[in-house]
Amino acid sequence: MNDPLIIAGTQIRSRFFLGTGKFSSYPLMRDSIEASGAHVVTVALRRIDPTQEQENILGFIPKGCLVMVNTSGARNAEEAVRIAHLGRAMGCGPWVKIEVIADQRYLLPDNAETIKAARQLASEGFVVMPYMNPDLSDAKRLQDAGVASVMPLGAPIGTNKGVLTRDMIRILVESLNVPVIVDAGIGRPSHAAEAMELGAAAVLSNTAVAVSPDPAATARAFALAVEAGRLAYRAGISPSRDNPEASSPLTGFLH
Amino acid sequence: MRVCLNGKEMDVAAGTSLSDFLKTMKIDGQRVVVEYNGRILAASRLWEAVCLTENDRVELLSFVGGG
Repeated sequence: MNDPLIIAGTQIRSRFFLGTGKFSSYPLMRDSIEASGAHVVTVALRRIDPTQEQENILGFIPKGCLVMVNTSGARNAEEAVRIAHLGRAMGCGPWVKIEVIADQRYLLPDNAETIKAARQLASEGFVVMPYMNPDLSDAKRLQDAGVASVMPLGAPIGTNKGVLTRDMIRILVESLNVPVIVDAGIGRPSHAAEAMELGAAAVLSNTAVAVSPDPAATARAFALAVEAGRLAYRAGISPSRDNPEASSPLTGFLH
Repeated sequence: MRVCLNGKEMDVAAGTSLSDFLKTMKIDGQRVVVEYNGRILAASRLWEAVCLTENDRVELLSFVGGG
């Protein structure tokens, strides 16, 4: 089945995107990326500690991966734009995941500031992938701003609660032209499969993989679940019904 | 003279170039991005041309794991 995911003219080899945070080591992170076959991975930008020797994370990201800087740490559009510019100056290309979080309790994204940052960065030629709280009006504003996708949360970051926002995700999938990539809250492969069954173009997970007892195996499980969910979506999901209907025909001899 | 590196004040000899400043701290120029008084200085040749002055703000950043 020919079902490519194409974002900003680039064919993405896997609909499973992997975040690189929270891994206990860079080698474990690398093994997880390889085990899952993830093509798009995210990184953050932080101050270095000049007193400490630090490994270069890029040395542990397999060649051929598309590295997308996230603007985590930004509390407003201006900070997000600043981080995007810094990330691009580091040479990681024009892809940027806009993440603007002023709310430190629930870590929910600020859609208004995200839209502001998206407008500016899209006009500067960035491939903008905005993390957002799923809201149709805001998603349409982002689409109009020229983003490459929208990335609505399934549940708050790090909660592993799954696709709590399923009805909103379905509405976005039905209403938008840009790919909908569910990001945050995806705690199990079955959550990832559900997101794909709803019609998401891809899923991003980080915490569930990085903190699992076997991150590489978990990463592979997620990738398989994403593939299964996508196949099911394309094949057509049977609707649920209230009245049971037998799967086998009547016997004709017992009753 | 005092300059601010990654939010912390430090003493630096007057006339030090940004590139010497990084060398003294053994910073690998390949894996950092430099923001100097709010401006991104992407190329290392630019670092040689910059002479630090009192109260300069230098940010040194690099990629780390993130979701």
